[in-house]
Amino acid sequence: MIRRTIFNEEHEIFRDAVRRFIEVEITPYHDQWDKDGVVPRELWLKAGEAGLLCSNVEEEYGGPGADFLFNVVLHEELAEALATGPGFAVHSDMAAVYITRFGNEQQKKNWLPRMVSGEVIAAIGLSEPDAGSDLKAIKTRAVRDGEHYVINGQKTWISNGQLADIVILACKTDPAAGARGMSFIIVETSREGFARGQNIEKIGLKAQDTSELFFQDVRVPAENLIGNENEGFRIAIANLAHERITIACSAITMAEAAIKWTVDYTRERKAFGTVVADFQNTRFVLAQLEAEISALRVFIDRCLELANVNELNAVDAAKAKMLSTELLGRTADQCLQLHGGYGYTLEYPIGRLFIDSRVRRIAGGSTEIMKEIISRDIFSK
Amino acid sequence: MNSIFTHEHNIFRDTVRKFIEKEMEPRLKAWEEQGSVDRDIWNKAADAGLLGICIPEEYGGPGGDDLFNIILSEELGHYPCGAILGASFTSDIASHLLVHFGTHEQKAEWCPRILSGDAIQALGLTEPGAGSDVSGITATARRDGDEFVINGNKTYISNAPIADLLYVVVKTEAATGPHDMSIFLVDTRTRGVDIRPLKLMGAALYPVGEIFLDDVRVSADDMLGRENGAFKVLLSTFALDRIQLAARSLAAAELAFDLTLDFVKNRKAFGKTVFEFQNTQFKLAEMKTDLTVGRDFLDACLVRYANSELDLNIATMAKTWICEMEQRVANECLQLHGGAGYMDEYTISRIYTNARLQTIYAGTTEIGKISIAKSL
Repeated sequence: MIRRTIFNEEHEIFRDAVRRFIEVEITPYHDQWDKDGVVPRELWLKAGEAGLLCSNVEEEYGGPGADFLFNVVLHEELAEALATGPGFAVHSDMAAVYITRFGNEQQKKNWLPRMVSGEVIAAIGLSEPDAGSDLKAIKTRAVRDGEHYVINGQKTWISNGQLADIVILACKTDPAAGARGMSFIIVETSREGFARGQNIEKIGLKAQDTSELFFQDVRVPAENLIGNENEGFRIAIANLAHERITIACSAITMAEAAIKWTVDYTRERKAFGTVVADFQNTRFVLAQLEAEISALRVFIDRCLELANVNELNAVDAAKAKMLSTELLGRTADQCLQLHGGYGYTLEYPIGRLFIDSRVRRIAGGSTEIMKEIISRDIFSK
Repeated sequence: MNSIFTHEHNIFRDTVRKFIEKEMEPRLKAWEEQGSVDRDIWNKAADAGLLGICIPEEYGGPGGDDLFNIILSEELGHYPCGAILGASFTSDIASHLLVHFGTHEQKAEWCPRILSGDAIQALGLTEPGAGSDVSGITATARRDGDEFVINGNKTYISNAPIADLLYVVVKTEAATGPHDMSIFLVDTRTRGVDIRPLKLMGAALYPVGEIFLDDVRVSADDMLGRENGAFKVLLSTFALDRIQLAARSLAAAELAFDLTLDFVKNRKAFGKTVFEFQNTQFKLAEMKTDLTVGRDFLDACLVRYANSELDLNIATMAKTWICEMEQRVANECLQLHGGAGYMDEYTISRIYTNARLQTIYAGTTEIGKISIAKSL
């Protein structure tokens, strides 16, 4: 593995703190959370206290005002520990960023300090039953009525949906205008007419709550609009490169962890009078994966470096997201296979990594959407 | 065209389909919610004539040939419940061991209970330290007068949590070579038998468990076949086991494909159906080709099997290739479902997790390759 150079001493101090936090507050409870289908609210408060939430929020709004790489450190450590339950990414790297970059002073003062402390948990309401990757096809409607918006519609697959205190909701404010008729509105889940559906059963990510959300004549003050009306699409894409490189980084870290576990396992596991690590097939499979991961790690680190100074473009982020999540899929599959029967049980972490990581090729823009983005770029020149 | 199936086979296939549609499919959701299958389904399956098919008439069974078992396995794969439940019912393979190697007393004792659904069977072969490498098992049976005393641990045993009759593979004091193993029939109510369920990934309705055998006393008469003869006994079922698994795996892949075709033709994105995208069409074209090759290969294997001409290596190739193919197909089909594919609301999510097991049990793909390579 080529030595990494993107982190400084402060990042590494933060990494130590994150690692300790995960060891003490997350890992011992994750199995239980998988059964519960959700993580407890107290975890969010503890994470807030430990300074893990919303790293980028400025000090005047209660945050540490740290750079993007602090988020990256957090997600690397969560990935390595297979701590897939806490939905910190949506909260810190999407919701808080939308408010920080596009929200008004009032919104920042009102929400950011409590998001930093974990008192307020945020979700982003994008997908609908008939609109997943195709965001402009959403039907949820916000109609202006004096000093209010009246919202009707339905969302699905919303991460943090069961816990959320606020939903940053993508709505149509001008349905005739397609992508140019969409806006983001902050909806407090305490408002009348809002309802959560059941926690949706998924094949993996069992500890991360995922829900349908229903909005029936929900009235919210007009000042809950983020940015300008009909500016939603611009807001959504402004942050995409950062969101996708975060997923990529998390994916490659998980792939590295899978290799490490598999090396440990195959060294111990005996079969046919030798250890599994001595079979040529084992060695070649792992050699191939290790080489691919090492190469991609360098590309991703370069992307992270660019992202940290806001120079990463959406196309390169799409390449990183696609390659890393596909590689994670292959790594998870082949490492599981090298675990034999143990791989299919949940006794070893590789089984949970396999099912938890499958969603990475879908969520945050599917592989097919990444190919669309990349190919559009190729042919636009 | 398919001359290997007789009129009786076709009637049986109909019976199986009706049984699945009437008794299993409607209860699948409830089973998934409670995390297990109701025990009474075994008695109902027995009433419908689905269990103990190979048991001869003199012991109350229909004395059917192996094609019945393959039909049962294949039809289960064609339905969501079967594709999700896994191989539970096809544990009938174990009945073969009893029928072909059991004594009259053993058959008289167990056959009626198997036929009524009151004796669910499980084969206790794999151990924590010996999976694909069968010769590495360490469970022992020590002779003590007219009895044997069994000690050891078994793991990943299909049906263990619900089993009544275990076929426990052990080494006795007479074992000298690596392949010297013996089988005992053990009633799970016997003192010293402790069974714990294992948690599998996915919905995992498929019952799998660990078995702990602590000074379990059985009669010497409970030995199945000869002492040190277990390897031959087990080997006799390998071809059937692999071919019936290949049949179910292929059927599940066909089901995944059909569900996906239906989904992409209805699902809209960017102003058209997902089916209209060329990527979707090319993926489906690749899959349809794989499925067609698999179907013809399997049919050829079945013809050979029916004529007692199926080489174990060919059966291994069928199991290995078809199960790998099912996994590829399930993966691509899940992807074509997009976000819906990851949610349990759609059947594809559980076909995916279940498919992952296929290349591991009944001989991993790697073990398959070792045997194929050995023949070269």
